[in-house]
Amino acid sequence: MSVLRPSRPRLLIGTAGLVLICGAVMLGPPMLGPQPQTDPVHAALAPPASKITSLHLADGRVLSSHDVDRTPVAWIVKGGRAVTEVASAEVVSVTRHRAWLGTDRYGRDLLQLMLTGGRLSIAIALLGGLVALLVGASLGIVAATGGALVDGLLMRGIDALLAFPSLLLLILAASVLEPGAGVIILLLGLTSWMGLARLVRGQVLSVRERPFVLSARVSGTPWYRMWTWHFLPEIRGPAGQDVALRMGDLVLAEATLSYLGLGLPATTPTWGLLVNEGHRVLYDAWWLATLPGLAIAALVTSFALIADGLQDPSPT
Amino acid sequence: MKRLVVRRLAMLPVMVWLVATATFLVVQAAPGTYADTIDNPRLTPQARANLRAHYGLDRSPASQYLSWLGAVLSGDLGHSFVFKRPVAETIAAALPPTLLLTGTALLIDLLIGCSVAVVSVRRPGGWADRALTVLALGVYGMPSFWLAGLAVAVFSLALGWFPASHMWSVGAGGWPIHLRLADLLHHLVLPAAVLGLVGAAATARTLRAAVLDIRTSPHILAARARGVTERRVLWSHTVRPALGPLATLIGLSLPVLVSGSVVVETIFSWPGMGRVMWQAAVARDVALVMGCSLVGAVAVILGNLAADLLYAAVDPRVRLS
Repeated sequence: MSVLRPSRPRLLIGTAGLVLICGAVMLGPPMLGPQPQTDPVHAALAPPASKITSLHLADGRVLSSHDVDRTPVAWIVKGGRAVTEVASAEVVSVTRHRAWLGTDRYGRDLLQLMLTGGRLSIAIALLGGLVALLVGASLGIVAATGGALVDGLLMRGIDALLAFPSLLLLILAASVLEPGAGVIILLLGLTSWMGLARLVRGQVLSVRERPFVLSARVSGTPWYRMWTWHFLPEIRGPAGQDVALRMGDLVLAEATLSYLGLGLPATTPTWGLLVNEGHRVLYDAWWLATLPGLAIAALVTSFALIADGLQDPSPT
Repeated sequence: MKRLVVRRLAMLPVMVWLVATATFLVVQAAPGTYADTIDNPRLTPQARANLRAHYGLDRSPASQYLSWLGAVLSGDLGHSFVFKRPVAETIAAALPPTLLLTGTALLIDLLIGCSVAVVSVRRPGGWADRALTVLALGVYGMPSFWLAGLAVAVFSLALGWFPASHMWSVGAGGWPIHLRLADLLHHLVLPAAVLGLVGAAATARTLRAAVLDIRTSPHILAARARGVTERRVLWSHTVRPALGPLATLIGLSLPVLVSGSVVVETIFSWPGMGRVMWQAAVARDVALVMGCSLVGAVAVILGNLAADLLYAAVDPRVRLS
């Protein structure tokens, strides 16, 4: 049975969504070019799709806003509960760009912020998922093949780890370690392998008793062939599905940590942090909390769709 | 079955001890003590050192651990630094609000989850199934904090239907009982709906898969061949065996029932376990953190046991093996 069935619409849609988000996040920031310098006062909280006009002044300052008026002698820059008037003579040049998703409280372009922050979400999902897969699968295999004592110890250990409040661990660990991207990835990956280890162990134990495996063993198949021909192909499907779902959960976990202010330092615009900032201005700027949240939902749903698509064919 | 229960209950103290020890290690590894987290610039280093000595936080980790363990064994969970009262009292005060919130949420969760699953397996692959599955997947991806913010924005800021936070209105203490009850329910709606909705997406997914699995098994084909009506096939041949997975789901949600949700309780200022634990962890309130994780660990283990027992109760095949 092939694990990948590209004919499945869900798998296709999920993969397409994932590729789209990955592509946007990887290629987006360089394509958008360096962030134009904007001023934090007037350009703050401009609604989506608004055109930002930037006035470059002779003294090096930049005034920008989505609400700029021009009189014969002066420019009137409004927005952010402030009005500034500058004489036309002071203005060296005028540039315009569009803030497709609006701006945040400091006048930064939300699209740019989301694309930069999305890199972390993607990295968490893929690398954290990889860590969980490596640890979970190897411990699962060890538990299934290592004899009763090893199995018992590992399984009780996993039970205890599952009984351990993971959020508490994350809160405390985030304060012990300097939260860098690598630390967060490791932390999340290392707290989410338990389910996978159980799954792999169960799968190996059940496959081992199946007639075709027994007959393969009787006919003297070497142990490495047993794994490459019989065990791994049987584990691959369920494990792949579990990992895909877990990757989505990792994205959610990281976003929750950032939302609570425990993730990366506030200089990295992670999606969870952007939602948090948006909640402070929920009434004035709906887009600031809504759009990053939608991005999280889209990414997690993509992973869930992939997991669904990897499932055994659903009867229709 | 009895042997299983006895064995699991015998394992309980060991597991709880393991979890408590692990919690202690993590709390000890975190830098600073309660005395360092107090946000008061007028507190001199000397005063902080005095505080540390007063609470016994300057002792070696081993001796702190042993004295905590001894106290717990004699039934004393210690004293919370943050709440300035016994840990047992703090937890006892935080449990009812959490149980109310998570219990209501679980009810909403199961109601929505079961109805979605039943509707979508009527005709697997039909338009209702596909629409509901996609919807459930979409909701599954939504972070609860985001959904909570959205709910507050729409239903309390824009429409003004429900209060945005807290459990009671200001001054509700003096109201007559029926008004207080109505007030409580009014405050309960948004947080419970958010928690329930997020859970319902996962419930619907799991149940749908379980029910589909049952639907393709031979006994359904046999029932149809005997000419059993489609309604009977659905309710007694499909839903009844699906109660097993449902029981597992309910049992496994017991820990969440007790430990609450940090995110939703923080956003809605709900005075429950999640918030208490969060405050305790941030303030390095060792005794309270340990108390919370003890309660959480017991809930997880009992929840697993309850899941297995419930499964056996609704599925006789498990009882035999």
